[in-house]
Amino acid sequence: MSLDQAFQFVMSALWAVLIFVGVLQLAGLMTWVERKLSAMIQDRIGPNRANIRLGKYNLTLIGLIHIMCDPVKLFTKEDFVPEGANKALHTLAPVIGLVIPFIVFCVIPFAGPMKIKYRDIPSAELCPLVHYLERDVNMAADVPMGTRWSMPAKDMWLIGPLFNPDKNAYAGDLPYIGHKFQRKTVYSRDLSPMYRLFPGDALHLSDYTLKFVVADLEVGMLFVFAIGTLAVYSVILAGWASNNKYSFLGAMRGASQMISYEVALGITAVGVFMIYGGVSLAEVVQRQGDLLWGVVPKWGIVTQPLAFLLLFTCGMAEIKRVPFDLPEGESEIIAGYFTEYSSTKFTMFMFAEFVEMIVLSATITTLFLGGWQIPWIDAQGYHLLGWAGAWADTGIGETLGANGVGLLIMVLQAGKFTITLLVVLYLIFMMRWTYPRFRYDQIMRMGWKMVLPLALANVVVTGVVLAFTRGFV
Amino acid sequence: MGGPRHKNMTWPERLYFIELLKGLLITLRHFWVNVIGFLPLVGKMVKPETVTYQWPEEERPISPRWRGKHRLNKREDGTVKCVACMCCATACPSECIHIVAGERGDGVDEKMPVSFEIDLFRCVFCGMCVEACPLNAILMDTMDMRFCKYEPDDFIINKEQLLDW
Repeated sequence: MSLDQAFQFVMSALWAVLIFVGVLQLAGLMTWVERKLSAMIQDRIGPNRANIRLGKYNLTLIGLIHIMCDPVKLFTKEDFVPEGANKALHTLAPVIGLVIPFIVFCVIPFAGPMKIKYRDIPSAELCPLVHYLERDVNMAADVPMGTRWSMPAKDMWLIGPLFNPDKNAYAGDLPYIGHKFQRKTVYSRDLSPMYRLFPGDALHLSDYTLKFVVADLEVGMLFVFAIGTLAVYSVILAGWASNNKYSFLGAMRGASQMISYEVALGITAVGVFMIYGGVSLAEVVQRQGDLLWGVVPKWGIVTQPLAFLLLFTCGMAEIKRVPFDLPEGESEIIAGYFTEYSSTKFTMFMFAEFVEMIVLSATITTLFLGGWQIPWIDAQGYHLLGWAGAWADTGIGETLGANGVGLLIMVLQAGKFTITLLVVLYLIFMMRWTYPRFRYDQIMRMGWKMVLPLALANVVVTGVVLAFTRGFV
Repeated sequence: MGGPRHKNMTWPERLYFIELLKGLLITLRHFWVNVIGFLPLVGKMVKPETVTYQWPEEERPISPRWRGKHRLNKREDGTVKCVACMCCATACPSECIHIVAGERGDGVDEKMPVSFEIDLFRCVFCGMCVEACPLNAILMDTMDMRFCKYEPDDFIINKEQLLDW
């Protein structure tokens, strides 16, 4: 593993933490959005009673305090496992349900690749504050006699006075080794931990491309489908392990619905892959930055409008969101597959639904709404019809420098991705409070007799159009 | 989605998708009118469509015909108007009015209730006692809907409580 790879690994881990924390926060906030938004739609006020008193002020924060009360209520309830239930599977099901959507989010790029033009940093310089090493001098037998222990004077003020009052220990020859019990603190840039891990290597920041995705997989969308399908295990296991007829019925409904729409979901996305020539999400998003006739951004919603509608529908069915919430139905099968869940496990199911919604909107954003692509603006410059130029030639480029512009564009792209994601999320919320739910046979008929043939037709028409217009558009 | 039941639908309606969009527009309108209406400053221009009363901070106006907790009417001199004719107790379908009649003694009238108890747990608030009263002595217009008590016996209200309004 080279230092560059290690750096990318560390950055990926950082993005993973960022996404995990960010998505969880958003999911927590969505419990509030769900209530307040439904209240606004139905001409109600919504939650506004939970409050914090600060002196004479009574903070309700338009109902935001409720999302702090919810976990307290949910986590302090009894964690109930019904008699005769398979306890291991009963516990495993919500865990699977919550973990799967997070894994799917790994392959979704949330900002464009950022080109860094800095300088190559040798591994020894990477730990400016840690590149001293305390050890017994008489144990430093692997250091040949006469090695010069050097520390540049500019670093000395940082750690010299703090850690070692003995100024003679550095900036000089190796102290006399023969004395058995002599103990000195020595400093060496060569003995810094990063140098020990990657001797002679350097971080090539003079020409480095930083990717803003946890795992930049070539199989991209296939990974999303493959992992996303595993969510059906959560439903089936929950229904089976609960030892409850209603749970099992709900699980059966959920499984059949998810598997039915899985077929159409995959075929719908094929049209997008045909247009952009690959299943890698990085590539799909990159190609969506192109312009049609120099004006219209070549987003998926422009090139594949039908696929957008179909994938939206299939996605909603896939995450069992209203109007496709057949697996749960109070009047028929109680809460469906999570009838027998309470406390923390129920919270996990609830959160899994919200996280799945976020992942669905991220997928739709990536495939159809340009992902992180801002129309007419990219890392190099701006271009719209005849009006085009590079950032380097403008005042922005001169003020910020190449790296500054890269950072600015990255922040803008991440912001665009987030806003688009939130807009799609809002649409999903609006649909939940607009449409009445389907009957079971209606869902099946729609999945197999409407969505699937339309998806297939979409693939055929896309293929024909591509064959005739290749080279023109 | 086809089928005989949808024969009288036009084809844009049968396309299903356009109707979905129309429905979405309705909810979107409600949402934004309410959200913008609740913003300060802007709220004066767009009125939110919510009709919620923020009880208990905000009282809902009560209709004058509203029937609630009873009271006993008084004469001009402040004494009880009731003459213990038992009309209300006879008319009461849930038998919740218990009157013990006695001599009045002050010459204003012959009889008066010595004790007048209403069991609010039994009362169905039908208002028949008010209709039956020949003197307009029992009324249900206290407009008091917040009589919460900790003990069940406190819901049997006596003459003093009925006169205290």
